[in-house]
Amino acid sequence: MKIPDTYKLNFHPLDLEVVEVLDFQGVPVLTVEQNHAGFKYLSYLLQYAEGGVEQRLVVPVTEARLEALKSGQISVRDAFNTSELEQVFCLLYDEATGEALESWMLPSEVFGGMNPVKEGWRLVELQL
Amino acid sequence: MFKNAPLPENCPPTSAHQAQNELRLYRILNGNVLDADAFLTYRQLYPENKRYRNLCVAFAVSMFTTVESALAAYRASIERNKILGTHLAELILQSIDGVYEINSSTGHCSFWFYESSKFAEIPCVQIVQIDENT
Repeated sequence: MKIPDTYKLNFHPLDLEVVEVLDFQGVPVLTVEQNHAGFKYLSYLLQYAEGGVEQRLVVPVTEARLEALKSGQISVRDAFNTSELEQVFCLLYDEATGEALESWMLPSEVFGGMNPVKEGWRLVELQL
Repeated sequence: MFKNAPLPENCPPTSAHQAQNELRLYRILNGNVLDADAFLTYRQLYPENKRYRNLCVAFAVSMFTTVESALAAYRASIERNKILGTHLAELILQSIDGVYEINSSTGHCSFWFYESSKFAEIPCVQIVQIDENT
């Protein structure tokens, strides 16, 4: 996903450690991550770039919203589309070390127009 | 007790359990040789990655419950510019090999091997080259 330089940050605002995996398929596709203050984030593996670099989309997430995601009440795409803080981060990580290499921060309304997370993906299928 | 110890706290999770009977699982390999390198965990692949140092699943061997789920993960990974491997092994795991947890939505299985389990002795039904067009 190509993001305009307008949204690129000259620092790395998030220092996150993975605390839970919601979808692991040989690689950690969808994870729950946490900063030193205990705030949680939802993180989606978008793609790999050359040189062992992983590109991830990251949004802050509350416990209530996380439970809604886990129970299938909201889709993964919507979890990113409707970020509670109206911000979506895109980060490049060195796969070998976990160091953040580059960061972008997009307003939700901008991200909504380019959201690459597939439609209809729920962690649990709703029983109708 | 488990390979790759020390594991993070509360790992494997209490929800992980031994197979009651033979458990048929599929593992994507880099090559057609079933040695210790064929069972590397994410943690072993990226030991310096600080983001996964306490993540229990990263200390498990990644497998799949069906050929279809393995190929789905393979294809999804290709779309992300990552090749998970070249071959698919069909393995028979026993209760003495370790404990496991399955994600029923994706068919992914995290398997934590007991230290006593011997990779070379795990029955292998077949190893086939993955056809990228399948």
